[in-house]
Parts: sequence; C-alpha cells; structure tokens
Amino acid sequence: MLLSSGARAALGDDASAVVADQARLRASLQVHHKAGYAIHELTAPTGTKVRQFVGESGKIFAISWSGGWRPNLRDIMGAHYDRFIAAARGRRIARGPVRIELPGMVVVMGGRLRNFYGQVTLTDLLPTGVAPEDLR
Amino acid sequence: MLGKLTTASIFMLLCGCGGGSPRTIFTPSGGTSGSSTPIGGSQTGGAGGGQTATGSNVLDVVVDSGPQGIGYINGIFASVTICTPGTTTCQTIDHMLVDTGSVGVRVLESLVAVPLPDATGTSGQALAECFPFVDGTAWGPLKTADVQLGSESASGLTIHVIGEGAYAMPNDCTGAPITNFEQLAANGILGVGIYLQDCGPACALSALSASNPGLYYACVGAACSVASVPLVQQVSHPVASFPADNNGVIIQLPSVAASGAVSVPGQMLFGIGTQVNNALGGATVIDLDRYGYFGTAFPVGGSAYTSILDSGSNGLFFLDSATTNLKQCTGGLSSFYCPTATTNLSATLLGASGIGANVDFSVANASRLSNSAFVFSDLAGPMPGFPTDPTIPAFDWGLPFFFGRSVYTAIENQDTPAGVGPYLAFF
Repeated sequence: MLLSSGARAALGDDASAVVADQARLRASLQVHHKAGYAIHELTAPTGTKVRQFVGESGKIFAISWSGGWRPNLRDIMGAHYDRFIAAARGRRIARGPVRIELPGMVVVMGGRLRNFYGQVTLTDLLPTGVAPEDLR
Repeated sequence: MLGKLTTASIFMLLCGCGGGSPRTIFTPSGGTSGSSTPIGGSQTGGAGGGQTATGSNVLDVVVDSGPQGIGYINGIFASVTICTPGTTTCQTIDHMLVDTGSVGVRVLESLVAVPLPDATGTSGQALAECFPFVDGTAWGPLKTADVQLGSESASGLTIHVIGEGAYAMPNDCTGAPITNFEQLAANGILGVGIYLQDCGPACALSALSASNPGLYYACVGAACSVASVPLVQQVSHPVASFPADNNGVIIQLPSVAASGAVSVPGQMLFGIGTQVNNALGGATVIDLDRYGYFGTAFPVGGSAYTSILDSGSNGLFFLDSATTNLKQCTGGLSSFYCPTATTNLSATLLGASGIGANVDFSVANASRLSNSAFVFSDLAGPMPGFPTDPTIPAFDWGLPFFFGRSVYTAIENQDTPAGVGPYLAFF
C-alpha cells in the first residue's frame, strides 16, 4: 500500500491519501487529536513540516506548511489551485506576508528565503466553532 | 526578501496612477544612479543613519514610488550594472529592489540588453530557476554576469533572469507566476541577505533526493526538469562575491516625518569593519538562531516572539488586532492597521544570546496616509496567520524600521569584527 500510489493528499481529499504522501515524501508522520479534528503532521526531509487537518468526516479541510521551502502548491490545493492563482495574480506583487480570502477558502502565506510558512483552509469544511486561526 | 505588501487598493488610494506598460530602461556603462544627499537623520557619528558616507564601498539607494511611477509604497531601490563577463559591455538597470530577505541578483529578461552566457550545471546543460517569494514565484534562466554595485564588482556571478522568453514556467513550479514587469513591480531584485547562496546545500543534493527542494532546473531544448546544482554555480550573494568589503552590508536611511515623504535618498555600504566608514561602532548586534530568526519582546518586558528583519517588506507586520488592540483597516487596506490615532509603541529586539535593544515605533492609521507620499515610517499591519503556528515569525520588521537607522546584515561564514556571520546589527 505504501508503494502503490502516486496520489497527493490535497485540500478536500480523503485523509487516506495522507499515507500515500508519507511514502512519496519519505516523511515521518505524527497524528494529533484535537476537539473536532485530527492533525496529520508530515515532516519531509527538506525540513518542511506539512500539517493536514482532518475533520470528523474524514476530509482534509486545511493544510499548513512551515520551515524550509514552500511545498508544491498545486499538490497542496488540488482542485482549488487554479482559483487561488487567479486571485493571487489579481494582486500586485507582494513580498510581505499575505492573506487572501476567497469564497469558502482562506490562504495565508509568509516567511522568506529558506523559511516559508502558509496555510490554506476550506472554511465551509471547518468543524463547528473552529476558526482558521485556531488550527495549530 | 520580501517585499512590499501592497494591494491594488492601496496603490489606487495612495497613488491613483496606472501601472503602465514595461519600458526598457538602459543607460550606458558607468551611468550609475545619480549622486544624492540624504535629508539628514537623527544619528551622529560612525555609520550613522542619514549621514553621507563616502568611499569606494558606497552605493546610493532611494526610497521612492518605484519604476515608471507605479506608486510603490516603501520600496528601497538601487541601480545595478551588469556586464558581459570579462568585457566592458555593460548596462545599468535602475529600480532594483534592495532586499535583505533574499539573496542574489534577479533582473527582468525584458530589460537585459547585453549578451550574457548561460550559467550551466555540472552536465553542461543550461540552468533555470523557480524561485519563491512570499506570494509569488519567479521563473527564468540563470546567466553569468559581471555585476557592479557602485565601484565594487563581482566577477562571473550567477544571476537569475526573470521571464519566459527562453523556457516556459514548468507545471511543477507553482505559486503565482512572476515573469514580467507587472508581476514583479520592479526592474529586478538586489538580494543582500544573510546567506551566501539563495538555496544552499539542499540544492546541491541529487535531483532525485527528497531533500532537494527543487529550485533549480536543467533545460534541454524547451524542456526543463529539476537539477542538482553545486554551491559555486548557484545564484550567489553579489557582495559576498566582491574581492573586498564582502562580509556584509549596511543600509542607512534618514528619518521620515510623520506626514511621509515623496522620496528619500539613502546609502548602502559594503563591508562591516573593513573601512573607516563601516565600523560597527556602538551598534547592537542581534545574533540569529539556526533558522535566521531573532526575538522581539513586546511590549518591552513582555512575551518574546519569533522575528525577522527585511528591507523588502514595506511595512511593520506584527501580531494581530486582538493582541495589539490596534484596529485593523477594512476593505482593500485590510492588510494594515487603522488605529484611531497614531499609536507609539516600544519593543525589545533580542538576539538568540539574549542581548538586545529597545526600539520605539509608531503605527499610523493607514487609511489617512497622504496620497501624495510614497515613504512612511509608520505603516504597519497584522501578521497574517498569527498566532496559528508559534514557530513562524510574529514580527516582520520591514522598511519602516530602517528609517533613521544604520542596519547591518552580516553574511554567513564571513568573518567580521563582531564574529562570524550571520547576524544583524543596528543603531
């Protein structure tokens, strides 16, 4: 199973794809349980830590990354990547920290050379009573 | 790195001018930026903020509305001369954003008029780079150039040329594309941060290694794929590549009145403690942890937060409304604070060793800033994402921090009178 899939666990996907990611990234996986959701934390050899926030439905409703270089955002955002790019293109280039709000989605990105962080959240899938800022 | 955080809305509000189409700006070799006289600062002695330094290691900089009057807020720019290696065939490009948050010279492909040979990897293939900035990703080929900053020169430097003329941005290079003038909002980036190379050892690992972050590409025909690039062939710090004055940079900008300014001249000095004009003097040295971070205690005596200092960020971005009690702006200015009245605050910058210094700063109502000025010492906003992850910086001390100060950036592994870099220092 660990070797069988090239799948990427993207936003809105089923959490089972996390295991495939662990294999693909050769990452270590830790699972933390919180009220209303679980955090699957992958630490890639690049130093980047990717946290996938999984609701009780089993769907990934948020992904964050920190440390090292930015991960492949197309993989992280999945079906939501194109509308993120459309919104990000609409801004004048910004090299400070950013927050982009779209219908049903909030993207936060910051950091700098060799140390990036970010989080993308599908707000409609957030567990009741949880805000994007609460995810840690 | 990192630059201005300016939404289309603030451009409209503060500038009201259009972006215009990219215009090629060439001046002949030697036509570096004109001389300028700082308007005076609050410091005296040594390499004081706002003092006029003279010497072979001085480059004029300016904080103004950016190239083609695009209305850049708090952008610090310099002119950079690039030459065909080993020749006097050169051109000078103005309005290169001076960025202590990134490393390396990056210039728009559309502006390059002198022949520059491809930078090649170990296999002899032409190289390209997918370089992430905070909210966009710059793509384009790597070239070799002699780079002159004022009267100092780095020979055979690998630089990044931004554009898709040679190779289309590959699918696995993700993020909002930065491949032209409209997307870069500058003619290039002059990255003078703490590292010797932009990527470093990770990009020298096998392209197949999961530990290679995949910034560099080797291109055959039109097809580019992730490559391993040895340190010496990576995009490198131009100042570290000088024969002398190569252990760091000092940025000196004068103070700016609360009403803002249209344009402010300043200087960048090369070297730390290498000449009479670049001594550390009484500067407070802020040593960095292994991630390049330091601490900010806010308020003074309060909690310490992870922090960065970055000339390329156009405001002071810190904490959030709930923590600071500063009202956030609404609408297109929501990246900024809008307190009822300008609020004076203090914090302590703390090195990893615990030594620090207090700094005073002000937060103005961003919606009331003059629409005829482009330089503000009191533009500030919340840090997006705070307090989600305690390991990410809660303070980004952007360009406003630099006004009225001398800010030193010491480069990694380079010896200085205060020890081996990297570190920051200021007074």
